[in-house]
Amino acid sequence: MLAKLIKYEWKASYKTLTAVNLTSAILTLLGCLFLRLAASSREEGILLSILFIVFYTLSLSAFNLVTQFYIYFRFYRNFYTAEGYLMHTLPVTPLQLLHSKLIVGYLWITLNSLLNLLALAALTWSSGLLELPNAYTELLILYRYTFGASPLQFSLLFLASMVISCFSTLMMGYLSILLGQLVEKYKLGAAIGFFIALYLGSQIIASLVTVFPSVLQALSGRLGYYGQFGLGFYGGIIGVVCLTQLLFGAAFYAICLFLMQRRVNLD
Amino acid sequence: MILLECKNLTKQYGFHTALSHVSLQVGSGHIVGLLGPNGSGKTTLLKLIAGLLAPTAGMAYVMGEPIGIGSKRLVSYLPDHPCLGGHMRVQEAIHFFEDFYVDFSADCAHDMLDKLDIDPCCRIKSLSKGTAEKVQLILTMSRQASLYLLDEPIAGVDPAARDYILRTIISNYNENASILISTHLISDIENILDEVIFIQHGSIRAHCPVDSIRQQEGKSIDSIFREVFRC
Repeated sequence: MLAKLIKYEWKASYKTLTAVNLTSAILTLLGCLFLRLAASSREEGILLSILFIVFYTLSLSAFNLVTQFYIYFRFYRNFYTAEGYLMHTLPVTPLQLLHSKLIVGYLWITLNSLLNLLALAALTWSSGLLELPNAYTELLILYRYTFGASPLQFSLLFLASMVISCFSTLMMGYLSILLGQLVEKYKLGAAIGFFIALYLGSQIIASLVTVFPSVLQALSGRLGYYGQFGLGFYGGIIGVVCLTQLLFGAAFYAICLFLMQRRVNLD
Repeated sequence: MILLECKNLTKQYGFHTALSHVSLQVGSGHIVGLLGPNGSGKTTLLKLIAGLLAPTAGMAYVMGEPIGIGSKRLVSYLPDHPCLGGHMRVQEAIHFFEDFYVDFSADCAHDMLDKLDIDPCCRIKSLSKGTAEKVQLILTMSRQASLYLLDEPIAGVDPAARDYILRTIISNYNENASILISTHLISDIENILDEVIFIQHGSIRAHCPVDSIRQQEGKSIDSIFREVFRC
């Protein structure tokens, strides 16, 4: 039954989300062409490149948000509006319902993030920065200094943190909707309120957990003089980010499991 | 054989009691009318049996199964409003039901769609309200379920279609199954009912066979309803 639920969830969501990701990919392609052309010209090219990067970053953020909120919206509409009458009378367990949404949503949100990463790599390559003399050596030194890792090592770490963050982000949205259902009236409004509270709360905790140990280390003098503060600092942060996001994701998932197993109360 | 059993079923929304200590039994092979004025608790009762609401107290059983995945296999529920995804085509909705319900007959659904001249390739969101309701009823009645819960099945359709729908209901359920129909349009359905349940303020006022109530009162169910629930 889970496979069937996944099939229908995929069929219901693939058109919109493919369109979003395709638009993002076309924009990246255009951006690569544009940066190639801009790199060959001089001053005007630099200005245009800056403008493009600003526009592109904003567009990419918008596409990310559209994907994220579309997945949340499907969860809400499919389970807690009129469509819920169909979904909650199917002979499937509540956990199968949750997992079908989780698997499809996670695939899309991760695919979206991977495409963003690829887009960043393609744009860096198109900008012509890597064609400068000693570019790779400079990059290696920069990464070693800033992140305490080679570009490849750092990319893998970053990828791991992204994959884990996608999970906790998705679960945070689902949990907010489920918590909203516990409220008697204005369930959607309550879900938005819970989302804001969970987002702020998790950000504050993650910031404290991430920054606090490093600051303590710096204050105790173990990092040596101030100039060396950056050495390995960001690389260390990513490991902590992975761990905190994993813990948040696991906690959100456990609460979602508990809430989904309660009998629904559809208005 | 008892198909449906409710024991002290109660549902409260905050301080408001929508259903209060409802106990009833429905045997197999009956068409039961669930009759009552607006806000009497008809939809709440059907939703509790369908597993769409959590009872505040009490239990319901379908063929001895408590409400859950087991009872959902046995119950075919028609809500009082459209619940099919608008993005789906009628054909896709048939595939959906075929995939999830082993007792669903796609041939039966196509046959009924043909008779009502509904194109299976139409998107559900492009259908009129009445046609969308017919499609939903066709899907509900194309199952060989043990218990059908029909919430206002004829409210949104024209009188000519009502006759067809009632014929569909009668001809598509097997003799061991039972149907619980909630409606305000009593005169349209009273000829097909075996039993009636009068419900008011969340409590059952009467549950009896249609023939006995007609004989006792010497009136139609519609007339009795109007007298009992006079405003």
